[in-house]
Amino acid sequence: MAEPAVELIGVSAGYPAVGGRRRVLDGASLRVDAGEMIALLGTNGSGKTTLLRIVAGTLRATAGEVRLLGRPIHEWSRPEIARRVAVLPQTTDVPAGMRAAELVALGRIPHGRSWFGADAGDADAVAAALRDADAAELADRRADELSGGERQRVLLAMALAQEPRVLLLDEPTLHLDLAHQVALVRMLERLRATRPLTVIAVLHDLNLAAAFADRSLLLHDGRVVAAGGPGSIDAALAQRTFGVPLAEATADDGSRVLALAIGNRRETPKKNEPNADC
Amino acid sequence: MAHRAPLLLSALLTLLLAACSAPAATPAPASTQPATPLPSASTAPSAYPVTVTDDAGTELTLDAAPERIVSLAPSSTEIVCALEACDRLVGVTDFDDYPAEVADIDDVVINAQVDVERVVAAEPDLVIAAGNEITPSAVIAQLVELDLPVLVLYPETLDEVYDDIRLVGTLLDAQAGADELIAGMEARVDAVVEAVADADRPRTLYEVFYAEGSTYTAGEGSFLASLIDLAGGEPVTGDAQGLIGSEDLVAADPQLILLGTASYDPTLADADAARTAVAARPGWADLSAVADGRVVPYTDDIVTTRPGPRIVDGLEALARAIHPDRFD
Amino acid sequence: MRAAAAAPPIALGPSLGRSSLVLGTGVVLLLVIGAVGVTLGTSGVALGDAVAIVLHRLLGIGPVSWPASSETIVWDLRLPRVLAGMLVGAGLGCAGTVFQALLRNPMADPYIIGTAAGASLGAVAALLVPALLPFAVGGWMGLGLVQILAFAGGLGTVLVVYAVARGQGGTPVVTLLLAGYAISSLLAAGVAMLMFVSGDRLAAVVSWLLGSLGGASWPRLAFAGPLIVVSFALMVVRWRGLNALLLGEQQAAYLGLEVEREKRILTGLAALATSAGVAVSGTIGFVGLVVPHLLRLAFGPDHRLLLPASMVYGAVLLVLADLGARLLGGIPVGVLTALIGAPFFLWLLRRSLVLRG
Repeated sequence: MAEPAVELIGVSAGYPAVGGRRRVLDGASLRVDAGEMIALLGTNGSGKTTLLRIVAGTLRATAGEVRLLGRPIHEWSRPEIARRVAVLPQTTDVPAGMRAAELVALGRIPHGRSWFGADAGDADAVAAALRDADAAELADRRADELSGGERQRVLLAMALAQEPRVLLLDEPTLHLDLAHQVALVRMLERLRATRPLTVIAVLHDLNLAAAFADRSLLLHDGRVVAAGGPGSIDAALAQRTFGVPLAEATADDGSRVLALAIGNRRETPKKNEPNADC
Repeated sequence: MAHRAPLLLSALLTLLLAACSAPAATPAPASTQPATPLPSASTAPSAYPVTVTDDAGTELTLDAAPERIVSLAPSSTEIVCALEACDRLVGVTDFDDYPAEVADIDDVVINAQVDVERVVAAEPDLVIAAGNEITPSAVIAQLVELDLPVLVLYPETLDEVYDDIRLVGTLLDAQAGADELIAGMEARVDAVVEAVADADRPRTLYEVFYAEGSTYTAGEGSFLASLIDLAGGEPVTGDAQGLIGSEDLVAADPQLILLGTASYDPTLADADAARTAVAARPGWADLSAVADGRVVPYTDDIVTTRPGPRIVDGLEALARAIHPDRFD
Repeated sequence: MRAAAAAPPIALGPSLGRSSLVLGTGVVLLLVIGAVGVTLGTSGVALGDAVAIVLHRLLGIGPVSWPASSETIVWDLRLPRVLAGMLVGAGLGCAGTVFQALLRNPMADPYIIGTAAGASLGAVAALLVPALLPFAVGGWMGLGLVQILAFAGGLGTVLVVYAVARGQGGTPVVTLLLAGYAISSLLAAGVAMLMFVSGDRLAAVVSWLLGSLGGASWPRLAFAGPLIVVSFALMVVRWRGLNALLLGEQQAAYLGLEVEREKRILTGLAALATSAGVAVSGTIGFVGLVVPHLLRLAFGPDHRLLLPASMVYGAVLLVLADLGARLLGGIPVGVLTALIGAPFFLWLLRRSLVLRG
């Protein structure tokens, strides 16, 4: 059996709020093995982003146990975690006046040893990260002038520059058109082939999750309510979770997918050609 | 405009004893050694070394007659010159205007800012500073730290002006000249007092500064108030700084208004124009002085507020303004 | 997959050559302006004498051929003043860079969360009650009560602001700014009140509030110098944290930064440098606001270069402005920092707009 990369056992967590804490995670448990690709599904507010913060160690669990690479997470220091876990958040400020390569180099901060500047190892890691994120040709561009898709690749390269064992992606497809969504998923598949990565990605698109992930985890009211391989999430449960009618269908390639079961009221609009770039 | 600040300050002679007696600003000169050897030390009369206590309560000892004097206030310049030592001045302020020959002396105070570098460059063996922040206490401390002999003068009454003249006279070994000067001043003061002795004493507002409803006049217990009193007027005073509120002013109802501001503001120099301007201020039209037309542009503010030998000129000017009939 | 075998090396930050050029130029400029500052003044010390005096005092070489007063002017007036300008300017530049990075606010300057208001209240109180404390008599280590209370007031206010703004989940930047603004307003009201009752000492109060290097002396340098230099050094080595904060606090945490701890340390260091500077010179505006912006526009946001450069160029600007202030009859140095810095800054701002289209 594979080594566990991330384990949560009965984890509760939340944020300070007026009159106490607002609990977002409520006894969530999961286990992700090294090398797995996990899609995290759930409605808004179900605790997906909070769960990523718990795994990244920037939010402390109020109850339960969090283990990273077999060790309780509170035993790791922040830089130690950052050398093992990288996060691609929903939004990141991109500082003005920085070139893409410099931005990616910020991913080397947790590895920083010298008092000043970068060493050869840093340069190699940045080059590899740019290459693996399909961003090598962007290296000398100004980061604040990149398109949405380009920026996403550069930020992914920054996360890769951390040389993480666990990569957390928070709705990485949020602002991408369909072509770029697919391209991103393909890239993640390639990445897994070249790097020893465990990937946990928050996704909204059930079909993308099915296509991308080894397993999907369904989060509802702060708990993991279902887990399973592609298509194994129970349609009835998912329907209750998301509050929309869902139906199982069989895709062209024979895989089972969940699809919105809303009848077409109108002629299906012509599918837009995805832009070459945003 | 920068000239107004020291003028204002010197006009508002208050009893901030705590402030001007603070030894913090002027610890005793560490060594009392003059910064440079005195070329004329051999010719010094036997009066030296001489030790005096200045208005800040600090002792100052001079081993020889000062030959290079820096004066940081026009009043001190006038005292030195009145003691016939004008030629020993090597630094004055850019506001110095009396006697005329001081115009040729280098300025070490420009726009009311003491240029310490110029003071040091003048190689003084005596620096006469003014108290009560007219010379900033920080500057005095700096000069003392640089081993310069600093004398702080800050007279708040006529008697203290005499004392300061005597003090400078002692340091210059000119006691006889000082006594003679003081005797002359006292005689003229007596003459003024006598002239106005049995006259009516009008409630007199001396306007030091006016802006947007804030009137500054003689402060309570101030030098200026005492001069108005000597000149035969009943001074209408403000608080320690001379500020008087509009309501207090109306309640005090001055019978005579002397516009000291006319010394600097030419638009007030004409009596009719001044009266119109003053009557337009909120609440002023009903003051007795305005109603009776006794608003007088007063152009002798400089001698009236400069505590040097010419303070008697100021007193005489005040008396003439308050009682023109007594000085025909 | 694209091969990157023959790709040219990727620059990960400001190159060594570029950094050396930027900093080297600044240091040379600083030395030149410093030398000019020691050489020029309002009194006629011969140009050669000024250099000879400094060499004589430093190295004990050369025969004494100048009047004693020249030595006093050069060694006790001009040199401490130039050095104080360097220290205070460098401290303000560096602290400004740190506060702008921490607070992520373009209007942030070293005074923003209370140092100026606290130092002003301390100094003005000290100016008005000189006989209140034993320190007042003779000072302490060559420092007056004004310097001590200004320093304590500046640093203390930042601590209070930080304590007020600190909540369960850290110290949000917006709360910090608002708390700083509120407490500064409160203290400014105190300053205004004291000014109102200051009477004859108003001139001293105003001149302190305008800021001046005129009071610089060796003892004051001995006090502020080590504080500022140590806080510099500790700020410069934290460039990684400041760079991480460029991406926002959440992302900085993902990059391994203990964000709240780092914010506390950096705020403390920047406040220390600022307060020590304010104690020497009063509040001098503009340097700490514009120098970091200027350098960021010119050289990018990487703090490896930005921090040392903001020190060097902050020092250059202040020494230059102070030289002008001295030669122009003692006008407030803050007026000149703005007169010199603002047009240059506007030019750079316009240029960056044009370049970006």
